[in-house]
Amino acid sequence: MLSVVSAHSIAGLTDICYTKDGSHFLTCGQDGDIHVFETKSDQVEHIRCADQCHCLAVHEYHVFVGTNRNELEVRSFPHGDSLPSLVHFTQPVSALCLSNSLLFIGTRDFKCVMMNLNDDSNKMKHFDGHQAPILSLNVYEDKRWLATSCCDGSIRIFNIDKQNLIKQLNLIQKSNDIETAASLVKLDWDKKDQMLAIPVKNTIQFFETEKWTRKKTYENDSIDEAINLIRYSPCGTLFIVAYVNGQLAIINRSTFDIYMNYSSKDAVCSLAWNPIESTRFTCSTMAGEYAHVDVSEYLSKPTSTPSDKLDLGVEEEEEDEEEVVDELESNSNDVEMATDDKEVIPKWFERASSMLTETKPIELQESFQSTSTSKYLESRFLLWNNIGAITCYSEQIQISFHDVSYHHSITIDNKTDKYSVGDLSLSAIALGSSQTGKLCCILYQSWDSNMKEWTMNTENNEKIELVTLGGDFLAVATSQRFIRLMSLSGIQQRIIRLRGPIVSMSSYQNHLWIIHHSTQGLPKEQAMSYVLLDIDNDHYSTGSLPLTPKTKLSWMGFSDSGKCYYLEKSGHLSMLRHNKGNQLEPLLISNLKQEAEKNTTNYWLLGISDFDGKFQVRVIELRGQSFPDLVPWPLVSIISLPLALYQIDTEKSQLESDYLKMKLFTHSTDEDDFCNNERQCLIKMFALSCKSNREYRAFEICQLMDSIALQLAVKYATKSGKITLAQKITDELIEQKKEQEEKQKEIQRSSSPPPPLPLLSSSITISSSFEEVKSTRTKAALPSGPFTNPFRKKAVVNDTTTPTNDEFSQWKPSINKSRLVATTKTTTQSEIHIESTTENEEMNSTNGKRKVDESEDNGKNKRNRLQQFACNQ
Amino acid sequence: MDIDEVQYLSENELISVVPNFKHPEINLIRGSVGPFLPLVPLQVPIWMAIHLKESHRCRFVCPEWLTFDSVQELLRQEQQQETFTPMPNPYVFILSQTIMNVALEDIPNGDQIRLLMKDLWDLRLAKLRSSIGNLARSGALYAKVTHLTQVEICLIRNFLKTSLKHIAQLQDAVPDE
Repeated sequence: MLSVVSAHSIAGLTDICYTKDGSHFLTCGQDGDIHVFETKSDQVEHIRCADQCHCLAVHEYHVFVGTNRNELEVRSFPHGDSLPSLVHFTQPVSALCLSNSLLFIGTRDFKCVMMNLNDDSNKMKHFDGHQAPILSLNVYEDKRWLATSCCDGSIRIFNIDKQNLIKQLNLIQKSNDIETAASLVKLDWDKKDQMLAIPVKNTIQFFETEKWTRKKTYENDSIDEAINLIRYSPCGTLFIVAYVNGQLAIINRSTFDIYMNYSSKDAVCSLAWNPIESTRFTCSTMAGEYAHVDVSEYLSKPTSTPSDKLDLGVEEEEEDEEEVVDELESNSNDVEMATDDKEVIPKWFERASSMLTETKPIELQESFQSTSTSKYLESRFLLWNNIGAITCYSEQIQISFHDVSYHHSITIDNKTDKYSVGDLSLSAIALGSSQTGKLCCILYQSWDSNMKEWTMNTENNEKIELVTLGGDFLAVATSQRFIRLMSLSGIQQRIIRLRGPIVSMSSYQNHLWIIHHSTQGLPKEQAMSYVLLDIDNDHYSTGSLPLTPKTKLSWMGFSDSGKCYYLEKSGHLSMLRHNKGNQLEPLLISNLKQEAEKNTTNYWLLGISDFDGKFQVRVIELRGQSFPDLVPWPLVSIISLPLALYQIDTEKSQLESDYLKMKLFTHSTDEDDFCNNERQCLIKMFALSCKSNREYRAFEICQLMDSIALQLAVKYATKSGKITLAQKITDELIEQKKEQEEKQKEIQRSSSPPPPLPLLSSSITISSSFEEVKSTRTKAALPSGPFTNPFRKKAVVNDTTTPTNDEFSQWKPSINKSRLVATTKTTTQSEIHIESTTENEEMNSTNGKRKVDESEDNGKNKRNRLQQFACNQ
Repeated sequence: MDIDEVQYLSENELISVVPNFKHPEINLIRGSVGPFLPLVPLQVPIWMAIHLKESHRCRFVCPEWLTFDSVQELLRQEQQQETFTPMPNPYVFILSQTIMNVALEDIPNGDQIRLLMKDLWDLRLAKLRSSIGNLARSGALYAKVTHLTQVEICLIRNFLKTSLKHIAQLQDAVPDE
């Protein structure tokens, strides 16, 4: 019994082939998918191709697929990007055969065509004479022969170079289509004995190639079913025969001994030998399944091959025969000319074949606006950001705001202007057209009732590629690699030059971030660079953008806190982090694609929020689509992502991810809150390593702690019986910390008058400390609510400024424009924080002491809490 | 309890909506709702959802049990089983009607779902009627029926009460043999 693996959901003709290097094999089936299997790791990639796929062949970096769309589709390998199709017919392609760079195509509209993939001449050679759909093709390239089996009941042998018919054999059963044919008649050449093996009903007939007469016949009397295919092993010692009833026999080539009989429920319809391990082959069945078979045990048997000697003799005769054929063919030259004239070379084919030549550099990614959907769609999103969405229907552009109380939606006629890019900010809408070169800016919140809108036209054939709106500027990227900066009212400010064609750009307040193609990349890869501009402060920084191999950029932009993020097509989401030297350090944050695959969806990234040690992305979940639809209006989900650490399912990695997030994404001004969270996280990690008896790791975690957390850690360690660990922590770390802190104190004292706080620390009473704790808690209560949306800030502002009025009738549009200003302040504040951390730490330590006092008094309480804490894990 | 009351009670169920405005938390007797943030789905009572929808301040998120596939599955199960199948929600018929009346455009395949719901309703009513008939004919003292929704109980309550009363009266009138 064959051990089959299911691959395609719809039963029917399933084709299989290996790549030349044997690293992958591909199957295609009636469900219209191509599955790319990695031979070693069993990793599968699914490529959605058409409604049905009939046959496929793979050539280096391209997959050729015969689909129900009556064309030979070309996909890139292994990623499956759609390339212009190679050739169109009036019926689907039914058979493909690839021999080195020659591709033979057999179709259901009785055509058989050859193409040279390495040749730029784009010529197709026709092999005419078929009167029914073509069942299969097999080429013998050394001899320049092509054998075809056809539903009209004939086997035809052609000469490839001369394009003429050498021999026609009427052997097989006639049928009117491939579905109704009794057998697939997949024939093969016996390259050792120079024979053509043809499945005829339940026999294999072997025809010698000299005079094309039958030399011998293989028949298994016990099976009456027709034979679907015959295939010789690469070593030429055996062949495989597959019957329509699902039986598969491995047979010695010369003696016809049956080594092994396999059976399966469904007929084997395609078979491919593994090009690396020549003793293994893979076959696919009519049920959309595939199976691997190893034949090495049969090959080890010594098989006497007297045919080796025969070969020579036959070959000599062959040459004679070919000469005869040549003579014959010279007569038919006129016919050949006629067939050549038939070839019409369409434009798209030239483009396709130019892509096929691998010597040319990789196609550069076109410019795109983040969150816009494909420009080939009839109705699409031009933009989706925190404020609203710009949608483009065929002749209309609609700007709809998420918060309708902020502004009603705006509809613009797009018949003449053909706007194709746009951006939306809190005060303006920018639209640009690459076709007409028109730029339009609508100041929808302007107080000047005369100036709500202005337009501008590009000159000297500069095409608008992208537009983006910052806090108080408008940037336009053009095809001449210029970035034109203008004010919102249209004052032209400066023109920045780029070193390459732009890929995408985004802005946040007064920052402008541009990604462009830089130089020629590594072979078959793109190389990109970025430019980060701080327009108000006049900072300009550049750098190259790290990308994973052979990928494209699919999203770039600022997070809600103003950090630069970019997403690759491979799903890797990365961040550019400002380090201390004010350089940008690229960090991998998460793999969006992997996270999406856990829920069997696809995420369309809209935005990122990274406040308060949390990392959340706003996405649209897509099921079986590559772009979100406009109708029904998509639902946004907010997803918290873990960092891309190894073994993220384990508790250890999750805590590490939490800790790292806290370190990376905290901009909060509430230092106390942050310290508490950090301590909590570290203690959790410490408890976990203690529980799993990883004392060295626990000690390392202790090195990250401050003195308060250390006290707790020591208590926990002693409680859980890790005396040596506790001892080591007290001996080494606590002393060290104290010394450090004292030193800092001294430095501080020498530089500044002593702060009043330390005086309190010793003489504080329990009751007052409780009160203090209470007061800090009430303070903390405001920002500690779950953060879900960038609009939160506004909500908080509303809370404080206007007395809360819960009645519905009180709804009023109230967006606080000062939010922008407020957030700019926070960025500057964070810098100040870095400078003032030493001071803060010192204050913490004093606070800490106070808390320790308290904790000793409430010792039991705390210990209990700690134990609960440990139990909860 | 009549149907209006059931309708009233059903509107206390929660449904998730996507608001297009922002508003702080609203404290209600049964618990607080909100805060409302544009584009962030949240659960609100249906009466509030209807109010918001009618003033164009939200979109409904189609509930899991009101998708075409799930309703079709419900109908299939109902057809296969002799007895009543459990419904995803005690107010399923009333709620589907309310939601469809208010927010048909937010429910994909809304018209088809309406038809399916109608089929389901007819099927269950037919079952109910036949089981009442069986009860009356068999003369049993009681019958146990599970998985009825509130509306269905309401529909048959008055009829069943009066008809059983009539039967009892008639039986009393007939002298014992």
